[in-house]
Amino acid sequence: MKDILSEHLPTPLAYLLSRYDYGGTPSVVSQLRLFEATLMFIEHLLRAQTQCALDLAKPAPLGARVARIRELRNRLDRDAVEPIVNISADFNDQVSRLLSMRNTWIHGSPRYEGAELMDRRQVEHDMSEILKTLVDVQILLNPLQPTTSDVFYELNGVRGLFEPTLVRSEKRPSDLAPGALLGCRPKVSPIVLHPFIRWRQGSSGENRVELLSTARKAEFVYFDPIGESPERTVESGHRDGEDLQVTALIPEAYQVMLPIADEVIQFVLQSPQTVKLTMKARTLVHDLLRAALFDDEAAFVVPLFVFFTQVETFLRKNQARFLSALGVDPKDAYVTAGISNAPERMTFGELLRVYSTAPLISVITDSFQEEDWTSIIQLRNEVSHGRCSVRQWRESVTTTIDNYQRIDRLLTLVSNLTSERVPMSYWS
Amino acid sequence: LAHGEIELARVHFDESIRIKRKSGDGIGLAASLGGLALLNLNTWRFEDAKARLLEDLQLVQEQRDLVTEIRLHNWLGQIILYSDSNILEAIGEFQTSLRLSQTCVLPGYAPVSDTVFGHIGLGFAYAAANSARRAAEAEHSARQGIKSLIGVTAEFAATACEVLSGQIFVLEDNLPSASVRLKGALDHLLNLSPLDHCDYCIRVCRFLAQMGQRRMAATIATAARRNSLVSKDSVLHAHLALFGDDE
Repeated sequence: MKDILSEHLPTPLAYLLSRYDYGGTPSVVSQLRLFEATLMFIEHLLRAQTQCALDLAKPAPLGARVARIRELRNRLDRDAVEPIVNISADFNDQVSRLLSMRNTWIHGSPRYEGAELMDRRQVEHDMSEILKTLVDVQILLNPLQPTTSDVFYELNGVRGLFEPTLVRSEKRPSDLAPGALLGCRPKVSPIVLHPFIRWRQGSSGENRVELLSTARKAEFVYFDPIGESPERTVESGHRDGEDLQVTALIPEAYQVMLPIADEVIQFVLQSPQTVKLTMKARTLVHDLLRAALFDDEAAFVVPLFVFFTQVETFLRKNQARFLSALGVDPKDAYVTAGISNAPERMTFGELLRVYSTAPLISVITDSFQEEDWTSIIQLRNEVSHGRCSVRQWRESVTTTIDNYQRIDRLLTLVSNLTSERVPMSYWS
Repeated sequence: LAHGEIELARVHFDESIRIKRKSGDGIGLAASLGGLALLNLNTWRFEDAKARLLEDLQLVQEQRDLVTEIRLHNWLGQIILYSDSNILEAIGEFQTSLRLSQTCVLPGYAPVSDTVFGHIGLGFAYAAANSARRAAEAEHSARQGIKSLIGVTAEFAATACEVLSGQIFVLEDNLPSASVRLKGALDHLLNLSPLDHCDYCIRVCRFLAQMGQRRMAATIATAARRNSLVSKDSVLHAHLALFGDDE
């Protein structure tokens, strides 16, 4: 089994495995390094597949790494996407036993012998099973010389260190940079591993595959699993400075070194209206952009849900008082707005139409103009009916920013006319 | 050692080290430490060999004995390659040895021998990394240097190159040629140096086992047990026993 694993595992893991003498004197240290590197590799492959950089900036215990793997796997399941790592049903049990072994060794006796021989066999079995999850994952290196052909170097097996096999892959992403790594598995679309996993040439000309350890302000810190000591290499990020407009709205954008962070920064810089947002509006936009930054589906929907629910509740509750304060007969308001539903059965769109048209027929105020609420109603419906996705963050945030000032004007008018003061999470 | 008395040789090296340590003979101590380290390297007692070698290395660096240092880096590379299977660190040691030998300009120093053994060490390390191409390049460089060597050193280096080329054939899946090369080289080594024969037999068996060629490894292990030194040294015997019998 070891031969097969050594031949097919991603090169750094194959190298670590080749140093672990199965059946010989157990080397717990090399075993621990192999275990930790394997978990990190699985996590980073899944991170690359989901483009998730959540909590990369924080040092996390090994248990948190296991939880992250589970979470990323669940996310792919939810999206009905085949994961790049085939995690078996026994994965959790196997990892738990290995974690227990690791903790015993680290926090207890470093000896590993005699009476624990049976445990050792179990450990070796569990380790083999976990490694097996990676045997069909191909790590492909895009040649350094720019090429349009579909030839890659395969960084699998110990052979990948100095003499990687040349392989063909027809599914080459169009703008793949020279030296970039791809993760492939049968039935899974190739995944660009940058920046989570990267290639580096070692001092003897060997191919090293490094894992993103932390992503802090403007620098990547990488971990080399086969470095002699926990070797870390630092590479400067691409961003030279921080823009105040971005920092004021979403400072986290400068702490994440992912393409999505660049997109968020560009988005803010190209949205001049963000400068004019009120404090509460900034909070709303910040919460949305942060969720987009960390690709967090739930965190993206919740602020919108809270915002729309509170606005709708406020408007429904004050409808009668608002019309009364305007001196408008409700029937006239409904007819003008073209609404046939009874007030309690009105949709959100109809409600907004009433609020928009009533001032027009009022003799008290003429400071309000009829509004087209289509885009915001559409967004609200997507949120309410579970169709809102963080993947469309750009459109959703644009709609929110574009409509916020109009909603703000409306709520201010209602509040002033009804003397109703309701503190909301995203409006005041 | 010439009479195959490994244990007795070890006792004498130990005694020599003790006396030189006591008398403050730094140069003699370095020589004895190196001798014992090499003996322990050849008899697969890597922990002790590494400890002696590191102490020796520190001494020769203090004494600015560059010529010995070049050799010690090569031995250290071999220990790291076979004890820890740490190919990359071993390559680092072989490259250091090569670099020092190629830049050493001490009067009377001829770098060719150290250069040849540096390339041979690199070749075995690349073979362990399944890189037939790089191993073959290293073998080629070593053979170029061997042309300038004479005597036992040349013969030993050429035999080591034959072992290396046998391993390269294994990597290239040319097993008949590999078998001929390995058998021929190891048989020759038995006449040249019985202790090195034991050592290289184990190295080859481990390599073959790692490459999934357990049957060929068993054949070589069986032949190696005919070397009388194997029965005299329990560690060598135990290492060869791991590869079973070819019958």
